[in-house]
Amino acid sequence: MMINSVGTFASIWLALWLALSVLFVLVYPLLRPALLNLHPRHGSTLLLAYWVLPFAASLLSTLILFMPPAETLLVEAHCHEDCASHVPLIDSAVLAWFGIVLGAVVVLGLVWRFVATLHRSRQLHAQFDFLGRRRGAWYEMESDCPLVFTLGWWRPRIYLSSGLRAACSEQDLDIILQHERAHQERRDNLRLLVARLCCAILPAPLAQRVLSDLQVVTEQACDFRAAERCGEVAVAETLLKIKRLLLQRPASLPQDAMAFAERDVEARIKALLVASSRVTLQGWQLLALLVLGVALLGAMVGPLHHGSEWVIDALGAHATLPH
Amino acid sequence: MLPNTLGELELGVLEALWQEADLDAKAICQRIPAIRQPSLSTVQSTLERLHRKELVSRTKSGHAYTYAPRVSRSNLLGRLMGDIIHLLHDGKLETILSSFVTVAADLDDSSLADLEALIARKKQEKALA
Repeated sequence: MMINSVGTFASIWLALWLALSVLFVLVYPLLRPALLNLHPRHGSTLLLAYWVLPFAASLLSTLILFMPPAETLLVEAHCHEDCASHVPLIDSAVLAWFGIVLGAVVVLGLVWRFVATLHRSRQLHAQFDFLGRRRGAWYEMESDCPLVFTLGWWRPRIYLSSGLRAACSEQDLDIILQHERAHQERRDNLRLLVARLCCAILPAPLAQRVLSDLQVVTEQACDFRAAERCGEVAVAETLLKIKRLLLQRPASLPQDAMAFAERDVEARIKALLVASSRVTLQGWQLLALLVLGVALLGAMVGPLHHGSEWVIDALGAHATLPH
Repeated sequence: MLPNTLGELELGVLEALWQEADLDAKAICQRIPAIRQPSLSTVQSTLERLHRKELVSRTKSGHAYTYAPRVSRSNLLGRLMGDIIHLLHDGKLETILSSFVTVAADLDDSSLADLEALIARKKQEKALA
């Protein structure tokens, strides 16, 4: 019975995660204009929530489905062979094992991806900490290559090359560091990691496409943070200046490496120049969205219970596990 | 994945050689800080790895080799940054690091000029307001 329960749990969770992910991808074009019109601080948070939701909602609602007290509250009473409270259950060892193996593969895949990325991150940290020189809140790296980045998840650090530092004015440097500090405070690398893991059930090219907006809005959120201190026009000018600097890059830098995100810069500069037109959400609106999300999650459990029973019936493998 | 990534001990050995070139394994071992001081044989195998990676050169001197760095600190950093730019380009680092500069990638001249004109117009509007 334990095998059947775990197999059913894994099957329902994965099927629901996939179904919700596909649904969210299909609905996204309708919501996209409104989300991208928000202030990027809110837009990035809501976009992250949007792409995390299929994973979180599928996992939580499946957990609730298998939790007797919550399930009894959220699923209307109905009868099969008897009218006792029950959870849907696959009564086929083959299907149950299939669910377990599939679930294990997905969970191990996620853990593997996380550990591999963590390892790479640590390697880079150790290397740059060793080779760089600490300058207060950031590290300087002696290199002509014009590069600045924020590395790490929980306690990210800022690394800036001496080549970039030499080419920038004090104000440019201030803007760049403000931007990177915003990444640091918002823990954007961690946010992107979470989003990527939660979209892992989608095919890689599709996941890449749906997450590209999140990346651009995240950059915009940091641009806007820098603009609060230095002004939108100044930040736009610095972006353009850095762009020009890259055009005069040292020959040793790979040509193709510089040509991967031209729309990002254009979108970021344009966003800065119309910053005042962005909609800022009020606290109560964010709270209302949260309440709506919780209510939808609760409302999902009933249909999920009946839907699962219907699918299991259709597979000819139905049994019910009384509480 | 990161061809120019080195381990902590490899970096420690290189650091010792950047401070003073033409050292043998024993002298390098003594120059590595006491907290992580490795055994002589570990340093020798690390030097062998660095030699294979063409990061140090060696010359036979009696029974032992003396070593000298073949890359400078900034050269190594440059290579590392090249790796990072490549990996950012391939989207393989996006969950580890965020970059201000590398995303400011190539636009053609006319797009650049358009953006410049947009900024100038905005500046003018602000000045008039």
